[in-house]
This record gives sequence, structure tokens and C-alpha cells, in this order.
Amino acid sequence: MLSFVARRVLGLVPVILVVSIVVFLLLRLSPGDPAVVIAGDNADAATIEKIRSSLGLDQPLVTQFFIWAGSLLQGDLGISIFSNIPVADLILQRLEPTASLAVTTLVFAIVIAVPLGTIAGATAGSWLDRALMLVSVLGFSVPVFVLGYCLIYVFSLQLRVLPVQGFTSISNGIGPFLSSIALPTVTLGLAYLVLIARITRASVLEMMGEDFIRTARAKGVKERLVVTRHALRNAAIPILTVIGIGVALLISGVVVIETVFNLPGVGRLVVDAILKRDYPVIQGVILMFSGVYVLVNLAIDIGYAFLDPRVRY
Amino acid sequence: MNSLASPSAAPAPARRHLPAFLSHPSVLVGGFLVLAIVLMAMAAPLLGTVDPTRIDPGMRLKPPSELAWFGTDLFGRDVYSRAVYGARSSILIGLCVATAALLVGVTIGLVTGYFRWVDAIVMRVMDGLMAIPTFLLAIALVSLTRASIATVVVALTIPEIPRVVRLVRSVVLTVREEPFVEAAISVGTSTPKILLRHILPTTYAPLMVLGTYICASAILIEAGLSFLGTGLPPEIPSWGNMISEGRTFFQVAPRLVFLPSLFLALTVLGINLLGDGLRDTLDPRIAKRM
Repeated sequence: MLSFVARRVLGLVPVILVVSIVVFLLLRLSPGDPAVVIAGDNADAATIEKIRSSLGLDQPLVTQFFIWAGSLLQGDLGISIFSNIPVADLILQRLEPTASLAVTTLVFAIVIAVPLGTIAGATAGSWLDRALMLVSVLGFSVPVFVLGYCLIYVFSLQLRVLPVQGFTSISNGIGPFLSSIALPTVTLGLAYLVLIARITRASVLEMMGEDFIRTARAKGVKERLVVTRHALRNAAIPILTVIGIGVALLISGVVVIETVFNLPGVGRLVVDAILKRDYPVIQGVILMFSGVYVLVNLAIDIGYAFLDPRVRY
Repeated sequence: MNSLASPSAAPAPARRHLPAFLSHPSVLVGGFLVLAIVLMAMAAPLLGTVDPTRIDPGMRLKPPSELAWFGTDLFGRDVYSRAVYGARSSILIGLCVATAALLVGVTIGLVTGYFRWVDAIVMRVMDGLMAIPTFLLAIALVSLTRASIATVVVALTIPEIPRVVRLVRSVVLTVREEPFVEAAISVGTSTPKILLRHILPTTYAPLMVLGTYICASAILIEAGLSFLGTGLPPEIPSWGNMISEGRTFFQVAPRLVFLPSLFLALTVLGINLLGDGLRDTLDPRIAKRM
């Protein structure tokens, strides 16, 4: 087991290396000289030269990469060009709305998708199954911001039951928090939900044809238990995989959703940084999100081994 | 000799399943939607539209009337005309990105799948690219340059390439061991010829399906980029730009957001349905690889 975990962690090294090279090159390929941008419009040549050497921009590209990666390993993501605040601090300040939204969306999508997909898979061809397949195609096709505006229109403007936009921290009470996060959660979660439900359906359906299901039925196991204990348990690996891969979908969605609902999160931070071309912030946020994605998928990889001993070859 | 070595049993799924594929309901509905949107884009000037970029300060934010069927926007431009012309940007971007990603991805995939020594390096790079969420990579690439259709196409193509490479590579890895490839090698067929004549055709069916998904994804991401103000320049009529401009007036004039949204959702729905139908009918094994 330990060697399995070690192999998986080591396997991440090249991935992380490639991600950091891509993100590093992103700043180096950006138009204009970062030193000129940081120095401002009224700086003289000497000041610019001073900033350039203090940033290490006069070094060869490879040296620059190692200096940058070295400070990265110490948790230093650089300093925002516009606000002069360390990027790590900027991200921390904005983390709460994004993390809250991520947690509520994960819970919302998984709690609904897995039972729904299981029932659909066990009763393939039923009206519920057909309805799920129809909704899932719609869920993939409607962009998150379009869905967001439709929900705002119905629930906030017409029915007036939920606030239009903005974020209320959980420290101000669970009620206001939930009503501020409800629409973003449903909007962001729908595509993720249908993705998980579809895979759950397909893998449960595949398991229902296996011999061990017939055996379980033959020995008189109740149908409900056949589906949950035997079919769903064996179908767990593809479901976990898609939960991990789908995190990329959530991250892309967060960036857009925070703009639709005016949530002051990390997604909004990166959009503002892009509009202002604040490259250190863009780099920092991309690194953070990619790191989260890689770690979630590592956790899921290791989770397989616990669920299914066959994986621990 | 070479003609004898050519595999007579090489799979030609596209031709063999043609009838099944045309009677599949997803293909029919999706195909109809896509055809309708493409025709609308091509015939945009004939559909009762006016110049979608004409600014008319006297007509700002007017409600729907006989002059402007869906009213006008902040600059007095005709919303209906802009939405119809917007189909052109979306379809152009979807097609360009799908074509470019397939061309580059197939080339890399064929080479990496066939030559083991390239494989390790290239696949690590692809894994790394795939670890960066598509939308973030696209948005970062767009931010490097001034927005134009060409830069948006490049920015959307790069994140899609790893998906194509992985698919082509997985097909090549299985086909490489097939008897017809061994036969071709044994009669001395050159490597480029084996790759192009014997291996490449086996990837057509799954690539067609993946191409439709890339097209749909590119249209969605372009709309997302434009929505955030980092996509196509604002003077180009595109659905993402319209939604982006309309959102400020959403409470007063939701139609500014809803009309382009409807077109966008129908287009993506059509392409996705077409892709699902092709996947189910062309070759049942494809679903496992996607």
C-alpha cells in the first residue's frame, strides 16, 4: 500500500514540473517588459534597470526559472503588479467565497447525482432513466452563465425568494449564507451533477449484467440491497474518477459564476487580474487551481486502492 | 506486393453503419439544429436583418417593435440582427478550433503512439497541460495578446490538443500490434506510409466524435471568454459579447441576455446531440475511450 502511494506521488513530479514551466513561460511570453510595467510611467532608465536586476530579469531564462521555482517552493507566489500585495495574501483574502461554493457544489451534486444515476441504471429504459438522459444533454449544453441568469430571473426577480447577487459569510449565520450561495451552487453544480449521474448510470447498468448480481438475486438478496451493496459498490471506481475529472469543470465554472453572482472570490480575482494584465496574480491563481486539481485526483487515485484491492497491483 | 498487403479487413465503420447512423434520433435532431444554425449564419443578410454594428444613439435600449424585433441594445444596435450574425463567429470559432486541434493532435498522437522513445516525454507534457483547467489556460493565453478571432482560436486550440493526442495514441497502441500492421512491416512498407495508410484510417471514427465535442466546447468557452470581457473584441457581434453587454441591464431588459443565450444553447445542444448519436452508432467501442 505504501509503495503504491509513493509511486503515485512520484508520478506527479513531471506533471507539476510541466505545469510550472507552462505557467512560468506565460509570464515570460507576456508582451512588454514586466520591469517597465512595475516601475510605472514616470520611471527613469536607472530605476527600471534596478527593478529588473532585483527581479532577476537580467539572468538567463533557465536561471530565472529556477529562482522562480525556488521561491515558489517556499510559498512565495510573487507580488501583484497593481496592488503591491503578495499574491498568496490576495488569494487567501478571496478564498472563503470560493471554498464555500466549492464545498456546497460538491455536496449538492454528489448527494443528488449518485442516487439518481443508480436508480436510472438499475431501471434502465424507465421514464426516470429517459428523463435523466434528456436533462443531462441539456445540462451539458447550457452555459453556466446562461443558466445563472435564468435562475436569477425566476427566483430573484420574479418570485423574489433569493437575493440577486453578493455573498454573505457563514459567520453571519447559516440562513443568510445558504440563501446567498443557493443559486450559485445550483448553477455551478448542474453540469457536474449530470456528468456524475451519467457515469453512475452507465457503470451501474454495466454491473447489473454481471454474474455476481445474478448470484446475489438467486440467494434471495433484496433487490434494493443488490443494487446498493453489490452493483453500486463495484461501480464505484468510474464514479470516483469522474468526480475527480469533473473538478476541472467546477474550476472553469467558478471563474464565470463568481462574475455572474458578484461573489468576491478567487475566480473574480483572476478575471480582474486578466483585465488589468496583472501576470503574477494570474500565475498564482492558475498554479493554485491546478494544484487543487492534481491533489484531488491524487487523493482519488489513492482512494481506489482502499475501495478496490485489485488496484494495488 | 503492397496492394496485397493492404488490409482488406481494415475496419471502415463509417460506411458500414451509415443506415443506423442516419436513423438515430440524436443524429437527426442534432443534425437538424446544426444545419439550421449554419444556414442562418450563411443567410444572415437575407433574414430581415440590418447592419449588426450600426450604432444609433436615438434608439438606445428600445423595447421590441416592428423596426427592431427584439429591441435594441445600449448603443441602439438591433438585437435580433446581432444575434443572427453572432452565429457566424461561434461557428467559425468552433470549426477552426476543432480542425486545428485535430490536425495537431493527430500528428503528435500518431508519432508518439508509434515511436516509444518520444512517447514518455510527450505524454508527460500532455499530462501537465491537462492538469491546468481548460478555461483558465485559454483565458491566460488570450490575456497574452490583443483579442482577435485568430488569437482566440489559438488559445482555445492549445488546451484541447492533449485530448486528441491521448485518443489517437490509445488507438495507435492497440492497432500497432494488429496482424495487418505486422504484414505491412514485413513486406517493407515505409514507416510514414504505415502511419498514414494503415493506422490513420482506424482513428477516423473516434476522431469525428471527439471533433464534435471539441467544437461544442470551443463555442462554449469562447462565449465564456467574451462574457468575461476577455474574448472577441466588442465590435464583433458574438453571443458571448451580447450577453456580457446585456448583463448590466439584465433587470430592465432580460431579452438582451436571453436571445443570444437561446441561440448559444441550441447550437451547443445540436452539436452535442450529433456527437452522442455518432458515438453510439459509429462504433460502440468509442464510448469507452471518450
